[in-house]
Amino acid sequence: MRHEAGKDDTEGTLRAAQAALAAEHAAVYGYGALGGRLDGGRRSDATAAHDAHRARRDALTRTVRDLGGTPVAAHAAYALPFAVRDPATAMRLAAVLEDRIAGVYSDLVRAAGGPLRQDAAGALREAAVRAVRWRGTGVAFPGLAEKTAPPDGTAEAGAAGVTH
Amino acid sequence: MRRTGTTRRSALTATGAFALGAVLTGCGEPETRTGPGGTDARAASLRTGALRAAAARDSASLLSRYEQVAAAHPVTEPGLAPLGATVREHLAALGGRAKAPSVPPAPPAAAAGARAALSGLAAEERRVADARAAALLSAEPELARLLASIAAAGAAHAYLLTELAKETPA
Repeated sequence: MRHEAGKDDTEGTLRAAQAALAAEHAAVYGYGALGGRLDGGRRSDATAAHDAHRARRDALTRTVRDLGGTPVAAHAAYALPFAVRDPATAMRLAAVLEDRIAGVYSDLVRAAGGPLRQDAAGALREAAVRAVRWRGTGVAFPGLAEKTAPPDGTAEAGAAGVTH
Repeated sequence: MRRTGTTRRSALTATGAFALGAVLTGCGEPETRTGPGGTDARAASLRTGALRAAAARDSASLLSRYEQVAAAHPVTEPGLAPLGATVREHLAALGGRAKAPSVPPAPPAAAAGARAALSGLAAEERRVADARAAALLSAEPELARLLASIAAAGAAHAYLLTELAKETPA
């Protein structure tokens, strides 16, 4: 850990990076769970999103190490906010996952500087675009929970990590 | 798919085992940076004001473009209305004001067909989102977060406008 300049800043950055990593773990799990409910182009979209989240997860794992932390591990399973039974619920879950991802990256933008902030802003942008693709409509302030009413009332339900 | 009972979930909540839930509520930590108030702080404050004003101008220009395209191509109005409303929210969050409605000379985007006008608007949203993504690198933390969110919304608009263009007769 860097001690010379802004130890508090480094710790804040590390906290936000860990939070983003935890959310990416959950997104990877979530896309794994929902992908099987989709067909055709939607299936391909889910696969692409799954890959993108895996890549972000791996990048954040390295970031956390670079910041002197121990990367948070994935849970063995996550309780989903609602049952995924069909394409409609699969797409709704994908949109919720992207909303959550947007939230952690907006916090990482605030906590980080330089290239990490740039990456976080890029990840936020990708999440917002994917959320719109899944939902068909957007929100005014992606990732800013304080300015955004949950579009489908599932913000509190969350995907709860289940450790076994 | 594994489903967890309410009791178990409650227990997990109580012990702080939420994975997503916990990270998603992480927005409540406003960074209070009470600097020494010297010239550095003053310069930072000026820079923040300038960045915010520039971002507001971009939103005001975008809003005008939306209004021009909707006026020139009424067929696009229903699709553009919610996006324009969002741009108005961005403008307000940045502390800006909409330009007075005027009858400007038809810009290139509005002069073309409806589909081309929508594509032009999508390109403009993308250009502004890129500019915000660059500007946020030198912004103070809270403004950087706001700009990142607005840039992300703009990129999503670009996607929606492109889809709208596909459904619109040229």
